[in-house]
Amino acid sequence: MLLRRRRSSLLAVYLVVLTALLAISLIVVLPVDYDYYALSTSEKGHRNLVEHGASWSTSPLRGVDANKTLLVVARRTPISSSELEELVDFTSRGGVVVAYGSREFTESLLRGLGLSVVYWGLVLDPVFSENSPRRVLVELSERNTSVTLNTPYVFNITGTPSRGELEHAAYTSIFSFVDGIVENGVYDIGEPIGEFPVIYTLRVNSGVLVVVCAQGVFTNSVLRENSEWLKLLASGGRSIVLDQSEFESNILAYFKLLVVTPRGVSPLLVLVLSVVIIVVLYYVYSRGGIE
Amino acid sequence: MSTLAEALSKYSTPLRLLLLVVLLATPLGEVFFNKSASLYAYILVLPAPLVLLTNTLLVFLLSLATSVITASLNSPVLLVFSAITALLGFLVLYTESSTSILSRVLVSLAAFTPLYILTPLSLVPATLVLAVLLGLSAREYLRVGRSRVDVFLESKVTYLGEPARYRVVVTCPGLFKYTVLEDGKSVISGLARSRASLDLSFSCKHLGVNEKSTSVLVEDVRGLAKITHGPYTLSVRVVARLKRLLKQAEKLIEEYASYLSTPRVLKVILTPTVTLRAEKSVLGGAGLVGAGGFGAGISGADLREMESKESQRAPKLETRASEVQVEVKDSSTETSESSAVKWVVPKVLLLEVEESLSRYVSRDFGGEYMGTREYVPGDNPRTIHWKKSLRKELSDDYCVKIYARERESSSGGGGVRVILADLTAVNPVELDLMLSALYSELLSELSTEKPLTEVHLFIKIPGEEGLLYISGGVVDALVALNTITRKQGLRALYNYETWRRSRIIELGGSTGFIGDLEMYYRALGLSLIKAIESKIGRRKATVQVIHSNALAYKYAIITNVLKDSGFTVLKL
Repeated sequence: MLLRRRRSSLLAVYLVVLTALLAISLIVVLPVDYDYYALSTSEKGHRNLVEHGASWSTSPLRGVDANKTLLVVARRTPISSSELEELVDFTSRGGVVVAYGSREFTESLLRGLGLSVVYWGLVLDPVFSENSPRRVLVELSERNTSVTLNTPYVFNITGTPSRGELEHAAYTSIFSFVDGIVENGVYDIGEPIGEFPVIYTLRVNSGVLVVVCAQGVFTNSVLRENSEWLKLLASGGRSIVLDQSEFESNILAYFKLLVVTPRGVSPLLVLVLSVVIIVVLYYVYSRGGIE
Repeated sequence: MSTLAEALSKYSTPLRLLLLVVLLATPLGEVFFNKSASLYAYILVLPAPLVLLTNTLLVFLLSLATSVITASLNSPVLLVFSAITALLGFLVLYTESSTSILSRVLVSLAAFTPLYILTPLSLVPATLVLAVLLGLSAREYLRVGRSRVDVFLESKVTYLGEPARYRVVVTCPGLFKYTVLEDGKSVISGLARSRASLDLSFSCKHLGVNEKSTSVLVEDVRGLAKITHGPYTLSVRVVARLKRLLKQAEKLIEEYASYLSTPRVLKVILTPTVTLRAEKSVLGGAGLVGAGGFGAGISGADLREMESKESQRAPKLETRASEVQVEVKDSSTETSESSAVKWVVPKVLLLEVEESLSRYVSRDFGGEYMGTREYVPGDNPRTIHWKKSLRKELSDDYCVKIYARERESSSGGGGVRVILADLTAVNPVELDLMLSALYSELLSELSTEKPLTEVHLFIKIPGEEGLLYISGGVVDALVALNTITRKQGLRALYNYETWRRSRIIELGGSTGFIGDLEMYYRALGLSLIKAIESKIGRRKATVQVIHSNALAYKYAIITNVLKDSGFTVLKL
């Protein structure tokens, strides 16, 4: 009777540990579809960018060589002044930064630079677009390269930045319009029509901060179309680093970022789990839990 | 025929060394083929020396874990090393283990499931181990499938209470493990090489045909293959010992037929009187006295009614055959216990004894028929004039024939035996044992060629009132006993298990219910002494007592009373 009870308790230990490890594994493996998340495979995720060779960091500006890094900052939430200060400082040290994301993020970024910003609305282009009026094609004036922007929007920007020099880097085509009066996806009488600036560059010392007024640039849905521009930005041996500091406050997303590497699950996690399994199995076997 | 594991066992050390080499070569392999090695590949080298030092199971777990981690590095070269590592670890376990490994291997492989989810490539070494395990299991099934089991029953008949013995012979090539199951429960298991012969037994619960389902599990020592033979149904006929003793008794009776005379058979009803000491009386209780005692018993409900009385006499038992009675009353009113003894002639039983006796002896009474007279207790029942007696059915008297020359008494000449046998048993096995003891006692007298020893038997028949009293020579008593056994249909009242329990009760020191019960039993003992003394005179004979475990307390008191009165008591 005593032996049976002891065996049952050992089996319980085994099952509890196995269940816990299974839960951890499933958390790591099951997909999470946050916008701009490195491991997300959704339209606005960055899984393709990671597979393209990008790494991610939750604290991107610490210990990073600005001259060798292309920093991609894509966010849903507005940027704080301290974060912006770090970003500008990184740029001034020779770094290249590409920023895009939600309207709130870009608006906060431009305002943080000392500009006056008024939101007009989404820009649609029924002619120069890729499959959908929301995937608008723009030509970069400097590099003679076309870029596909996913859901671009336009601001009325006035004033001058506190640091550096702001330039318009790309405009939409003359067929584009701002879907501002009635956001119904089609042109309505009275809505502005013509070329709109959607990409700005801010040069600070030797670095450059590229602000793209679009919800997706290097995201999964348009990465293939923009890979040439990405190569140009990363030329000079710059490694691509994706900023994921936005997810520090999200435990699940942060945990996954810690235990997963661009090559797959971290071998360190596998090592730790293996040690736990060996210890539990040896404990159960040595006590006669499983004959 | 040796198993594969036995053949490989001599290579266990080289296998460990090979495993060590593979572990050490893993990072080198990655460097050689991939031109670089990850940090983890070097970390994995650290526990490598453990494979030489630790036990077999840990080697297997280490190699499995190492292979899973190596596979997680997503390198084709490392995947090959990973598979080899896992395979070698398993082979070390297989060759060095002498106990079941199947469940351990399967549980270990299952335990790494979280890692298979994390790194699907780690399924490769695990699948390889599983495939090899299945291959070896198939091989062992072929070997164990050649096993054979023979089951022999030692005897198809056994006595009640004795186990039925049987033999199981298991043959199987090589080393194997066997487990014998009875009704699905394991009774014996062990290891054997080529052949195992097992002597087993099972208990039989009841008279008649008892069946037991037996099966034999033959398996590989590493638990990779197992085959169940059977179930075999063992059928044993269980007979009572009494049957054998009855036959033996009848044989001896035939042998001593010339000495036979009719035994005296009476029914004695003891009615002890207990004077209450503390304004209440307890004369009996359910199960203690009422059913088991040979005196009168009353229920607990009756007891409450009687509590208001100062003194209570046990109710007399009704006697269906009470036609002739002799009452002996104790005149003493000063003692707390007194008793009365009533003798009754059991008419039906007498007829049956007479009938049995007639099978052995001729009814030659010699002498001239002189007429009849009234029956007096102690008269030979064979002299009863039944025709005349039945004509006087309404009266209480029997008539006995008077001959000019009485047949010489055959009693005497061999000492006196007094046996008190309470055949109230709680189960058939106990009844069989008690009857066997009683018969053995009587037969032992005959075996010492003392057929004429005078025997006084007091027998309590289960479920009947009073005691049967049989007296005469041993062989005469046997005739009467045979008649009772065969025709009265003796049976156990219950079918309970009993066991002996040591408990010290100081006689005379108890109060309340126990004290009253003790007083009652003492009175019963005194009545019994009067009954014995009325038959054998004032001689202090040896009284042999036979009773069941359940009545130990009662007979402890009666024995004490007998001893106090100068009798020697032997308990059987």
